[in-house]
Formats: sequence, structure tokens, C-alpha cells
Amino acid sequence: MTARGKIARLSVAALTLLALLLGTIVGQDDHFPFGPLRMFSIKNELDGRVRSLEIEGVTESGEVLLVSFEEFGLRRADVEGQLGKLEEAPEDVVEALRRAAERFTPGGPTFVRLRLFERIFVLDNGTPVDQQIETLAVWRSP
Amino acid sequence: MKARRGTSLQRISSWWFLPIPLGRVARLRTIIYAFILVDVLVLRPWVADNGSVPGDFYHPLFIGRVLPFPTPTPTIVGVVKFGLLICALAGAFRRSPRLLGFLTFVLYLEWMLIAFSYGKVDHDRVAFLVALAVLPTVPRAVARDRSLSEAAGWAVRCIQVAVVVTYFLAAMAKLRFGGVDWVNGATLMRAVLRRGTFLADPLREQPFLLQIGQYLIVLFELSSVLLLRRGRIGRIYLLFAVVFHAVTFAALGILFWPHVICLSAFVALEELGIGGRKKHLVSNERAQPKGSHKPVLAPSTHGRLTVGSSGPASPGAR
Repeated sequence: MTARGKIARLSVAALTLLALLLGTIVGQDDHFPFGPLRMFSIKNELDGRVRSLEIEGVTESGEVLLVSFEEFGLRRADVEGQLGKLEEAPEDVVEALRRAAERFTPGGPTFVRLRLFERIFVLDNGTPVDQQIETLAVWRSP
Repeated sequence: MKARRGTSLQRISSWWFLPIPLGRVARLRTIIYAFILVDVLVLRPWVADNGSVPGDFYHPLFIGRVLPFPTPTPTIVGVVKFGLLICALAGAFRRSPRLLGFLTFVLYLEWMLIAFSYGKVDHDRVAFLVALAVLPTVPRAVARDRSLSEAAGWAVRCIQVAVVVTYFLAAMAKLRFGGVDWVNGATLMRAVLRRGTFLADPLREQPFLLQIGQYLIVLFELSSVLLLRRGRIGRIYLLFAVVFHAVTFAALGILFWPHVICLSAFVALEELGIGGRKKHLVSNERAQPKGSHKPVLAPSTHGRLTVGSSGPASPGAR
């Protein structure tokens, strides 16, 4: 390989490493692919709470099922990221739920009611000691 | 003084450009490009749905605002998906590795923009994107090609460094967002409560074990540079990494797929005894850096899986 080829390659490698380092120190997710690699980087308090967003559906026969977001073609993290909108525009979230219900796996159960809720675990010195349920939005078939 | 600087530059250069058999890049191409097919069709089918989401929900990432990528529509997403699948398929069969390889990189980057411009950004693809960027810089090669190449050495080294840096910077991010005290928190308990599989259920009563886990994770990430050590230490570290990802998958259902795929850059893939006949070394003397050893004919490993290194021809090989 020519010296020029080597210098070019080394420069690109150095710049990429620099961008990744900068992204880690001052960047945000917005700077993908150089943003901070922040998976599981937030510290949870030992006496804090853990919130888990879940969907529950009621089928035509009255059966109550816990539905995974993936089954709805959604990602829990995406929905969680948009929870802020719930206060301003709860109808948007309900609408998203309705669309999700429509898309639900063909051949799967038909839902007449969907409930978006948060399961809240209360921690005491790191151990879950209590659970609470907080309903965020409900969709009923017309 | 000047002479010493020259020597250290030479050492840096010979570390980054340590010649390796082209066959390893050939096999890496198959693995990396075939993974795109799995990623698009099996692991993340939801990306394609983003084309149907109203444009108001599209908040392009920084690179999407700087580079002229269009707002996704069903047509654009369809075209990108189709193009990406075709290019990746061709790449897996090592057709036009430079042109199609570059096109695959651009299309995959656009695919990531489509995936991550609606809320959540994933953090498991630095090494994979690096792999897509560097693979087209290596000449065409077949799996049995034992000729040594500095271009191949640089490409593989880049993927290896990206893997190491991913672990190390993940620890730095924990320091930034979680603080020094991250290790004493309940982050793993949160993960267990939110997404634990049945295997993780007993851990709900064991916060202390999970805290030890947090210490081990940070220790593992901070010492990731050991992956680049040749010989036993590097091999053991690679084993740690594989076990770490396997345990995370079993307990939490999380697997950083593209990153894990890139761990294969630490394996002397060209020595794996699949589909190989007796191999011949075509020595490329010009590719040899000054003072390096003569190329060694790697032992024939026909019919068995060997993950070993063979002298200077296998940087970071396990």
C-alpha cells in the first residue's frame, strides 16, 4: 500500500475515534452514530421506583390478555419516548393504540378494548416490595 | 529524538496495517452482509413501517439534517429496503465488493436514519457501521485466499478497535449519565423487572447479586482493550464477551446483534475448515512491512473448526 493510502486510512480512523470520544463527552442521541453509548447508563435509586409501560387487551370473548409491544409492531421505548405527548394530546396516543390494534397479527384475537398502563414497582433497598398500576389511556371499539 | 519518533510512528503503522490473509475479509463480507438480510427481514421488520408514519413524527437525526436524506414515505422506504436487500445479497456472495459495498454502507445508514428518527436510538451498531465502511476498501477476495494484505489488515483492525471502543465508551457514558455511583444503583434490577425472562425471576430477590453484576460490567467494559491482546489473554477476553452477551440474552432477552456479529473480526475466519480445499499461500512480499517475518503457511485445517492464530499473519486472531 502506498504511503498516501496509509496516511488517508490512519487519518479517517483517528477522526472517527475523535468523533466517538467527543460524542461520548458532549454528544446526544441526535448525533448518531457518534452519540454516547448510553444503554443502561442511567442510575436507578435503590429506594426508587421502576416504571414499566404495558398494554392489556380485552378480546371479543371477554378474555384479558397482556400484549407485547412487538406484537403490535411497536417498540416500548418508542412509545415511552412519546409519553410526554399524553398530557397535551391524549387522543393521539389512543389513536396510535387503535392503529396498533388494527395492525395486530392477522389471525390473532380481535380486541374490543385496549388499555395502556404503567406498572410501578416500589423498591426498598434495591428489592421490589410493592406494585402499583397507573392507567394512561384506554381505547374501546366503537 | 527524531529517530525515536520515527520508530513509534512505524510501530503504530505496522500495528494498524499488519498484513492478514484476504480470505478473512472474504468471510467477514459474507457474515456482515448476510446479517443485513436478517436484520432487515427478521430482527427489525418494524423499520419498514416507519414509512407509513405521518411525516410530522419524523425528527431527523443530526446526520439526516446535514446530509440530503429525504423524509421517509412508503415509496422511499420501499426503495431503500429493496436496494439494501439486493446490495447485501450481492455482498454476501462478494459481488462487486467495492462499488456495491459502498452503496450498501450508504443505504444501511439511510435505513438507520429511518429507524431512529422517530424516538428511540439504538447503541449497538458502531462496530457494524465501521465494518460496512471499511470492507469496500479491501480488494476482491475469495474465502480460500491466503495472500497477505495490509488493506485487509487495516479493515479488520478498524472493526476490532470499534468493538473495543464500544465497550469502553459505554463505561464512559455510565460515568457521564449515571455518575461514579452507577455501580451501586438499581439499574440491573430495573432491567430485570421490566424485561426479565423467567431465568431472571429469582434475581428479583437478589439486589446484591445484581450490584455485583454492575461492578463486573464496568470492569469488563473498562478493560476491553485486552481484546486486542494476542494469545491467551485475548482469547479469554473474547470468551468473556461471548458469555456476557449470552447471559444478557438469556436473562433479559437483549442481544446487541450487530455488535456481537462484529466479534467475528477477532477470529481467524480464514482458518475455519468450511468449504476449503488445501490452501496455498500466495505471498505478497510487497505487502510485508519492513522487518516483518516471512509469511507462514497456516496449517491446513480441512475438516475441523480451528480458531487459532498463525504468527504474524493473524493479528488479534484467536
